[in-house]
Amino acid sequence: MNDQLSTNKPQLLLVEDESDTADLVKLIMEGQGYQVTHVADGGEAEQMIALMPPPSLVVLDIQLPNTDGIALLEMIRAIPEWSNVPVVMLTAVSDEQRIRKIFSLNIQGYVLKPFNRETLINQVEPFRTTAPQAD
Amino acid sequence: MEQTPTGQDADNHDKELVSIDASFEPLIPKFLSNRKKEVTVMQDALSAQDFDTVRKISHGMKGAGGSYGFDRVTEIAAVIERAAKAADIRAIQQKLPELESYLSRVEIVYE
Repeated sequence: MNDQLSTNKPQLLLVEDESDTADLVKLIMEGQGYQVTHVADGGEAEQMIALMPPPSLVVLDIQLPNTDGIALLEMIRAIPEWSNVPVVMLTAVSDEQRIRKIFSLNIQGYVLKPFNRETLINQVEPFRTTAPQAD
Repeated sequence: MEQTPTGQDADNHDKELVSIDASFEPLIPKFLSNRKKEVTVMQDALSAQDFDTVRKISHGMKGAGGSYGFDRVTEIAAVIERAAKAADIRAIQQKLPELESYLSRVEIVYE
């Protein structure tokens, strides 16, 4: 954690339980200059969010073990220090009702799986900063 | 294994040529190995009529396959996922060997 904080790289929290998908997102985002912290479980993500400083960006799957992505998003939006952190949902969910639900929770973008490299990069590029903006 | 000029191996099995982003190369061996393991897990789950396991694995495979550039993996996994939701044993029994065959024949061209 201290090593991550000492870099000037933008920090990205990735919550994704499918390991090969997570490896791919990590590869692509590290190639874009991000320092990526990956968590594979929603319950572990809750603990991580409670302990770590807010990152520059969160990439969040919806269907996760234990705590799902929507519950994590609600948690993130309820923490003052995290309330402005951009969140991009990474999901295979394609039904309109669930997409509307997650947009009502203030996300900054979503990427449907399977994704291509350019779509992922284009979704996260607008949020490249070294630290989240305070109110 | 030797290939004939038409892209077949010595046993006359057609190779499936897939173009993959060269930057993904370090991840490909693990990706393919995991998919082959998942075929076995799904076969075992199907024998036990554990459709939930088949559904979960095929769902993850559906998302990962095309993201890496293996669109056929996504296509087959999507069919398996739908079949698992419907508890359609026959459809899954048809698709698992197809997936297994594809994974054994795939040949990657890095671009």
